[in-house]
Amino acid sequence: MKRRLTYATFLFRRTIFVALILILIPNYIQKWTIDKDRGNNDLIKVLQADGPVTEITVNKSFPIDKDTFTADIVYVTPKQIQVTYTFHTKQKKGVWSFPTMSLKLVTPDGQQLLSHNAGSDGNSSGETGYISFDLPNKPTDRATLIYELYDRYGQIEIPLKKAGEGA
Amino acid sequence: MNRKLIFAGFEWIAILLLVWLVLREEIFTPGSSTPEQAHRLSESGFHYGPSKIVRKVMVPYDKHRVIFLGTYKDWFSADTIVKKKGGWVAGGGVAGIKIDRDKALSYSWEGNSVSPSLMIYKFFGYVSDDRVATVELLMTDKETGKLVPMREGIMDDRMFLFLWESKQGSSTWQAIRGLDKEGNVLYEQNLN
Repeated sequence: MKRRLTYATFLFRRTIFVALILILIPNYIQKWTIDKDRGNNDLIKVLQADGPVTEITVNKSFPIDKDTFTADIVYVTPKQIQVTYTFHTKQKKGVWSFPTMSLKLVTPDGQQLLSHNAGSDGNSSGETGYISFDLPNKPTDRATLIYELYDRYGQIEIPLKKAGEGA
Repeated sequence: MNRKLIFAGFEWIAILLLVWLVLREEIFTPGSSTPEQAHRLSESGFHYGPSKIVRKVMVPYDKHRVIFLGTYKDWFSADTIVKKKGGWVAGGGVAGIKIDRDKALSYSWEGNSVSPSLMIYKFFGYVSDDRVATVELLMTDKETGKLVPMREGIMDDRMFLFLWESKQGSSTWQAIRGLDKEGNVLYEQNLN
């Protein structure tokens, strides 16, 4: 009788253990494949079609509530300025994709550069993406990336190596 | 015998750890347990608000749908929360719309299709002019061609919400009006 009971608890325990592992594994595989899938090399190839590409590491952040926006790298080509970013959120439910097109890039003399192109890739902790802007009228060595939606505000100084020169 | 017991103990600890991981990953609970919580999460995930909920409206013909009328600083919103299998989730309308204080009323609308042929419309707004006592949305019924007004009295929260179900394109709106206590038209905006 006692042996039977021990066997029953063993079976019960082992079933739960295996079931939990079977539940978790697909979840983690899914997460891992989503996070691995990044087409950054393709982006650079597209930029190279414009001509020589200058790559400058930015790596600066500002908080939006409890989340963090980071400008990673800026690429300057003879035709455009492209900023890649990482949006990191701790929230798990009710997360919306980052409103990339609301980002503004403003030069020191106040010109707001236009954007026609942006893209993003969701992952398990937020998203990565990019946004491209037109070149400024007057060459400049820096510009300000601005996020302003409702009463939230954040800005980052973006270094540029004479964007707009010789284009 | 003793070693078996120790092994069993470790296995139980491992199970607890796995249960914690399942809870943390929220595999079985993608939604929220209450509409209020889903509304709050949707706003914070959108980086808007938290808005002041002025009214919670249960959609009369769809018990799996709740609308939160709210204001936040210079904005107003009508956030729809819907019940799916995993709980309450965002159903559109989280974004705040700017209140135009120079106009008697500010409005917005949204249509959600609930099936290929059926739409749920919400037309909502915020009244800035104190004199506006009633808001009227004039509709034409396509079948009868008659003008059908929908009316709502304005209360302290200054917001209004018109809800209706319709087969796509079976009725159209003509105008939104703000009326005073005597029924005089103070404000009228054509919608066509």
